[in-house]
Amino acid sequence: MQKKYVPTIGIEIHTQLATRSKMFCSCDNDSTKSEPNTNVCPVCLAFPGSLPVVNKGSIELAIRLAHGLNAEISKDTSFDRKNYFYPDSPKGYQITQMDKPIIGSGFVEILIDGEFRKIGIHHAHLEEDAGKSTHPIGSDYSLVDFNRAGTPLIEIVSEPDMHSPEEAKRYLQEVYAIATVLGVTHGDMEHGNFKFDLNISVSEDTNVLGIRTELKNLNSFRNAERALKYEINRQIEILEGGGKIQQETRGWNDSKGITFSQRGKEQAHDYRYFPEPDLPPFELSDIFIESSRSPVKDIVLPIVIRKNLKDLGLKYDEQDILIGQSQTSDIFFEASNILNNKSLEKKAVNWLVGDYQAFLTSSETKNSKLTGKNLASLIELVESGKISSKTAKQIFNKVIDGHSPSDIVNQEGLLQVSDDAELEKIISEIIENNPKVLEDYKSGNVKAAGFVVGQVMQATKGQANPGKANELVVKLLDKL
Amino acid sequence: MIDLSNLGIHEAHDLLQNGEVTCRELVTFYLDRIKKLDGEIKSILTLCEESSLEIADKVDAKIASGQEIGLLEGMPYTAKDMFLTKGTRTTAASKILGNFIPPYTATAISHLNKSGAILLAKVNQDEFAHGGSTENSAFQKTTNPLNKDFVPGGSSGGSAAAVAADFGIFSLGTDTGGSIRQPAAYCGVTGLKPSYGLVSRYGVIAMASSFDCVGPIARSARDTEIVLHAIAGVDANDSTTVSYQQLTGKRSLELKNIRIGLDSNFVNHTSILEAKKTFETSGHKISSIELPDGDLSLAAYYVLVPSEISSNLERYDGIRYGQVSDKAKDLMDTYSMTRDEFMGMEVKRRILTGTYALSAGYYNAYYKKAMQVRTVVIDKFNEIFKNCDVVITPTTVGPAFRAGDKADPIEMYKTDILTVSVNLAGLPAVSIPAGVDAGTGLPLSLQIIGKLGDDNKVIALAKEFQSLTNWHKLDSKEVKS
Repeated sequence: MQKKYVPTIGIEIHTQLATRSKMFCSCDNDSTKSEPNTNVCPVCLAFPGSLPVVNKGSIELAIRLAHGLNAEISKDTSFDRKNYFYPDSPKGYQITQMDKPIIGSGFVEILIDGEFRKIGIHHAHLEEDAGKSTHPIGSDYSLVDFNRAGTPLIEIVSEPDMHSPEEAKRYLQEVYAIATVLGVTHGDMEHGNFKFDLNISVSEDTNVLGIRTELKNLNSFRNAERALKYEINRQIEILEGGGKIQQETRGWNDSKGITFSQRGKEQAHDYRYFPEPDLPPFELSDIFIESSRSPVKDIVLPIVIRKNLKDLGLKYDEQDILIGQSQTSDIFFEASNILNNKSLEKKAVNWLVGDYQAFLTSSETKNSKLTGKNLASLIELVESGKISSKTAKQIFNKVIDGHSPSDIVNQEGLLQVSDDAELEKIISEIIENNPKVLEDYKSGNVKAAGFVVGQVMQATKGQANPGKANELVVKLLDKL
Repeated sequence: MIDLSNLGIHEAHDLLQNGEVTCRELVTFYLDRIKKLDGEIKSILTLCEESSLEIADKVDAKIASGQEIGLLEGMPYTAKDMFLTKGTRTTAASKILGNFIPPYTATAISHLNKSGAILLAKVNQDEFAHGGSTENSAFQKTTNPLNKDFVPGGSSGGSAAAVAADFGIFSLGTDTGGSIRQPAAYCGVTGLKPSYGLVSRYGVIAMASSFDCVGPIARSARDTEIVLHAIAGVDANDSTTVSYQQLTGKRSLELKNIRIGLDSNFVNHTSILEAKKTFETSGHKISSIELPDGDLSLAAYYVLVPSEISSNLERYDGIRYGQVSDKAKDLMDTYSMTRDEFMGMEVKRRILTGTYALSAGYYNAYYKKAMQVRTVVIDKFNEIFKNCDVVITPTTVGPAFRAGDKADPIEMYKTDILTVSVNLAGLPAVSIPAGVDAGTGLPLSLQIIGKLGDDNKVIALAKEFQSLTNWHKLDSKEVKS
């Protein structure tokens, strides 16, 4: 019988911060338009005599992130040096936080198998990115671009709380959503704004962790899931075959879909951490913490949106649409407050994930003036029978342009005719003018009623409420 | 022709302002002396002849137009080769920076530039400031201007020798464990190590970041004070700088009934006998104290400083600037051959010591333990300064030693025994000549240590001592070629 193995996963996320300047110097933090090695200065190139100065903006963003990770801010915080030689590490050490990271323990809630689960955050710390090495294929040299050197990063270290690739993926997506909605990072994954290392082990005994491997430097959620699936199977196969897992660092080969050994335990670095003497430890004041948090205090966190949307029966991917677009989720919450009714709120979501997304995809400018108030009013007009859903769809683009639905309906005469007396008058006229209808109806041909309804719709140019019209036609025919 | 030897800042300033001598004449006087005498003293690494004459002419034009000049305007000085000078070679006396032309200027030098002082030359030192004799320079061994068989001390040996030889009015040095005070003592000049954080380290090649201090060497305490006021201050580029006001308080000090602490171990040292005599005459009170254990301080120092060195020197990897070995075939070669070929023995020794002390498994026994000792030393000084305004010690146990005498690195390290505890605690201290060694005829000096931020107090006391004695009035005409 196949033994049951439980995987255990812990994740380190490196997210580049959306500050204006670099972590320890005043160089622009955006090098996307710079030629290699032009966005540099004596500090980020580690020239003799240069010294780091902490970017206040990075501290502010760390405080914002702590808010999103339900984590404590460590008021006493300090930097340490992590020493290692590599050509893209200009100082020969990275300035990071080992002893007193700025963000303490916290948690992130994820939605998995229809339930919300907490994944623990061990801590998160500030550090700087290295330059970028490239190794041209077939050449006997490597190139280094230092534009990226000194880019501020926060490393978010999870507890080993995840037990499946899906769970790991959900965690990554959730942290990504939090970090982007709070403006901590631009979240451009193609340009390395959000990368992760995955620690994975499997064990039969849930109380004892297996020997772990580390999958380094992934930058896509899908690949994280694929790599974990592969690695879990690989480890189980080794154990089933009576082998032992090697503690090592492994890479992910995307095209082959496999993980491969990069560095064994015996080659592990001794980073010789010690307190960074160029940066005195510092204390964050309550006022500073409060003012750093205030721009994001009112931002609705992804998990809150997710909980609301799950209540409305939305699937995970549909939730993601609203979570990924803070403007859209703002519209939803405004509309939802006005509607205050689950089935109507669901309709609001349907508009937002359906027609509204279609607009955003097709529109070049994506210039939307849709408000929650107007969306709610559109839904109420349909619900009260004042306009048909067809009319609603027709005028939606104008609502996106910022017009009030009732104004559009009034100006264009689109109100449904729902008034009994008026409809009865029209119906009577049609029956009088088509005597055969009554005959057919009385002889049991119910389709005759449908014909009358069609005539009513024609006569009212589609403004009659078809349900109401049907109801009245049957009533009048029965009476006659 | 006016005799321009042994000028202090005020005297030189008056001569310039009164038109008795032109700035070009003054600069030329020093340039001529350097050319005539430095062949043997070997204190100069890079001479800034053209630029110094150029600035001198501007100062002369200003004076000729009837304008007042600042106190430091037109003052020729030298700087240890640890200070980055934009466009002018800066080497730290290491081959690895043998052809390094900095793209920016150190804050301290910028301050002096702004005040109009004229950089005459970059001067010799121990490689990366690792040493106490300037014998560890990768380029040349500087000799003591008072006796060429003796070392000038180090690591700011070039600075002390240049001042003693009258190559300029003052010099900028750095002090990590005594590197300003010890050479000043050996060469019979005044050296000031300010409180840690008082002068920006930006643009100063780092030795040990939590110890390094920038300070002046000059012919009098009065001149070191003028220079300190010009270079001190908070620098946005150095997060460890603190405000001058915060550190020094009031600028004018009344020196009455100063309480001076003295460790009984030193009561018979020549400099101390001299100090006791002088200070008791002026009404100060000397009381007995116990200094932090010198051996313990030295041990902690030689764990912590190499640890920081091992990290601070990682940037010299042959990748971005400086020398690179042309024998290197791959990345590991580039690192190991470059550093092997272009770094000296003492530098390698300290990198290895520091790497060892920080390594996993040794960190607690060495680095962490040494940090604890550092805290003990700081506490001990805090305790002492509850009852004392200043503490006096000899700067060094004896006078300058003969070149080649301290081949054993441990023997060399021991010459720092009276100075390192001051750096462990970040305190201000000044070294002033206070006697002569009977055997060698070389100067012996007194160290005055203050509590953190009391820079003005130690300077004021040194000034008082120099107003009452003549030990600092070294006659440069005795410096013979």
